[in-house]
Amino acid sequence: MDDMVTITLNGTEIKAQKGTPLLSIAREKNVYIPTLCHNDALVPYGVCRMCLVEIEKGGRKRIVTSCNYPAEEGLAVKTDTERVVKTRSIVMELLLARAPENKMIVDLAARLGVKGGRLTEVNDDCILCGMCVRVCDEVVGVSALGFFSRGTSRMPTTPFAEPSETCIGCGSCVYVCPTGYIKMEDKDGTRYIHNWKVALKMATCKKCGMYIAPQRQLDYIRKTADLPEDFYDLCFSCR
Amino acid sequence: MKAVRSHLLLCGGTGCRASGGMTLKDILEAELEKRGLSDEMKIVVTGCNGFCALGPILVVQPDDVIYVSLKPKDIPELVSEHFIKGRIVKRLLYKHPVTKQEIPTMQQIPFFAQQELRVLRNRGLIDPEKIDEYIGRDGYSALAKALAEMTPDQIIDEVEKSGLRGRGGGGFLTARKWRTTRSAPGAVRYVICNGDEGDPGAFMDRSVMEGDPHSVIEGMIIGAYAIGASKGYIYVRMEYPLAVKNLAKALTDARAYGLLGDNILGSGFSFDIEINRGGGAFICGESSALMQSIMGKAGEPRAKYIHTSEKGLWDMPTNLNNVETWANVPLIINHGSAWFASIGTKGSTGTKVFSLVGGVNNVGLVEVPMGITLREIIYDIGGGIKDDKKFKAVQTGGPSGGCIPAEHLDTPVDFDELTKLGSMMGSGGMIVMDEDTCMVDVARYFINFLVDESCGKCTPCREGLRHFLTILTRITEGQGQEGDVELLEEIGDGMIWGSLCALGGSAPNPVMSTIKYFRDEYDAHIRDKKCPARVCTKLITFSIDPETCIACGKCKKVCPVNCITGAKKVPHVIDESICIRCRACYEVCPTDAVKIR
Ligand SMILES: Cc1cc2nc3c(=O)[nH]c(=O)nc-3n(C[C@H](O)[C@H](O)[C@H](O)COP(=O)(O)O)c2cc1C
Ligand code: SF4
Ligand code: FES
Repeated sequence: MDDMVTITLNGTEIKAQKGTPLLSIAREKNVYIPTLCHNDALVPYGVCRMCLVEIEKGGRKRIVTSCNYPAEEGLAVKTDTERVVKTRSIVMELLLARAPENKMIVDLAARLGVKGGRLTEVNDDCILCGMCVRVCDEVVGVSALGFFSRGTSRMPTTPFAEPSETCIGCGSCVYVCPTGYIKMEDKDGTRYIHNWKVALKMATCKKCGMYIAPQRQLDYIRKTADLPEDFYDLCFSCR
Repeated sequence: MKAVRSHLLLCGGTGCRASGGMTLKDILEAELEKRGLSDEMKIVVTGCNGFCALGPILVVQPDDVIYVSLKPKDIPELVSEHFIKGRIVKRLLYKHPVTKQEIPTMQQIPFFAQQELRVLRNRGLIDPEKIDEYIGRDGYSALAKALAEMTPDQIIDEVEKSGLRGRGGGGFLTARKWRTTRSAPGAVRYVICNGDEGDPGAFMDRSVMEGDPHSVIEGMIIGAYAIGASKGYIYVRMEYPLAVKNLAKALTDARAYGLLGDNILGSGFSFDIEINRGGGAFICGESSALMQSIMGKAGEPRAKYIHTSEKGLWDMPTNLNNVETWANVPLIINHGSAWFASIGTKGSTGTKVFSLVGGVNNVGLVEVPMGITLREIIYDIGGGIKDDKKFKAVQTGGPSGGCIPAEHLDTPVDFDELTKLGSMMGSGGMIVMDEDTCMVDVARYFINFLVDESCGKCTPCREGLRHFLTILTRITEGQGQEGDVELLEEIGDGMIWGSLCALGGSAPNPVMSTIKYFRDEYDAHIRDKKCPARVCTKLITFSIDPETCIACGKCKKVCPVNCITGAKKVPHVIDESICIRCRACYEVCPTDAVKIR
């Protein structure tokens, strides 16, 4: 096929579909590249800068993010050159200073052999990978979230940081968040997503009385999907 | 009606307006009326002359006499002496900063004498609101030539031979970008003019957009024809209302003359331009962020390895050039690539406009041939360092540029040489610093700006800048630790290699260059807890030398915290425990008795 290209990955020649992100190719070959803002369900975002690799093309070397760099003919990709390791380590150290008590970050730093202690700690578990904002937009289609402010004050939030009026409480943001920064809680028939200041009434199963999902989420699915009516009335086990 | 015997070119740039230029216009008009001169003397409000610090400026033609720093009360004398009696009013002329000699004409003023006006060809000569005045100075002749005599490929070839590189910072070869966009597949193509100019203190693009809007528009039409674009945008920052006004008027006039719109000059080529008012953030000047902003999205860079020249606005091929880049295009078409490349260096042809500010005698906008040395710009055009102080460094390239020390003053200024020195051309900001500047404090100052201007999307830039600021602040406060400099270098290295866009990639420049050239100052702060330039307030103390103090009491009067005691004939004393180190006493003491240590 003519949309196949040949690249080398750490010296090994491999064939790949043209345009495939280098990260996917490496993963398929079991070559480890750390990532923090990548999720297969989402469009590559390229912001955590953990997935850096070195590429060589026409004699020119560059450092690029593998999550969104497309495979092209003749590319030589190296995942662990001195330059890559050095840059990735400092990025890791910066994130470790941001979230020094976060288990996932601490573990990843340990795996990469990066130690903290040199930088003033920030203590913010949000690493700004943007997965919550993106999943809500790209997958759920609700776009209840966005970013507030710039620079060091950037943070994911609802419009004007007001309790969200569009959030359907589906919890996708909670599931994709790699650090556990987003806190969700179901209590007494109400779903709370504390970060977005939402409290949504849960619908109950007509049969067993168990809570199914936030009413607003069911209303949203009713609007967007064509499902049998009893889908909205029964819980997963009674359906 | 009498024939006009004299044109009074009153500078209408933002600088001169700020110093009262437009009030002056009314007064001048009234005075001419009173003296019955209204018919023979015509006031023309021109674009910026670049000599903004001496505004308002009036040039009398054909005598070619330039008056500076005019006040309303000067007008009657000017009219009766010069316009009626024909005698130049000496006290209103420019005075040489060193010899104190009055200089009557523009060409004799060193600030103007060494400049090579190409982009600023119409500076101070035309009324930017009058398309006929632009046309009168060869305006739109390049467009006519391009449309009638040249194919798009010939135009791109000519631009390529000229060696023109983008003036927006990166120095990309303009023709190469044009060719990529021309050959990229797409249903429509766009051209954009980058007039964001987010670099604080820079005003070259503003000056061109305000003072000669047609030169930008003409360049864009030629470029659009060469690229095959049907739609153009001029992205202007919100803070430039006069630029927006003048550009809007120019677009309307160009449309009325058939120079924009359908079937331009009967060539069959159609193209129109829209003004887009940017939010004004520094990052909005970055190409992908700018395009996001035009499309109504948040102005943030996007991580993508496909160039905007192939997939830009609405994923269509889009060519972005800086204001000054566009304004150079008509010149290349009119005079040819050889003429264009006849000045400059091998890798950087033509001229560059700089905004020269800081500790030089003549601050303002200057256009010089590429390859001129920093020394020539600072000492000849800039008139040297103010108050006979010693030169310490020049910061080029805007907030994320680097600081260049005295030993490199003879470096020819071009894209590659500045990069080699750890700085950059950037948009052409040039800040001159004298011996009283603390280089650690300078680095901290720029990082403090960048911390708020980073979009915060990617880790190295956002977090790197945060720690830069923390570390630099503690160094300037005497809390620096052994190893801080190395830590700064490591973070900087990570930002250079790891950042998503060029903001993060260049943001370490102020830090890395000051470490490279002024390491001793860092060490003095960290090891000796001393600020050699005596700037960092936590590291200095103020005292009054009893020998030189004449007990005049001036310091006591200005001290905002009343920490100075003393009486008539009694030497004054500063109470260090209360002193906030504001420098007020230091500035005011007539005998320099206040000592900073
Ligand atoms: C943070 C940042 C700010 C920028 N600001 C400007 C600007 O204000 N004006 C400009 O023309 N280019 C600016 N640029 C450069 C643009 O991204 C782009 O390279 C330029 O407009 C291309 O035009 P040129 O090829 O004519 O130079 C900026 C780049 C970065 C990274
Ligand atoms: S380098 Fe800075 S400005 Fe550019 S994308 Fe990253 S955080 Fe934003
Ligand atoms: S995974 Fe590639 S930048 Fe985050």
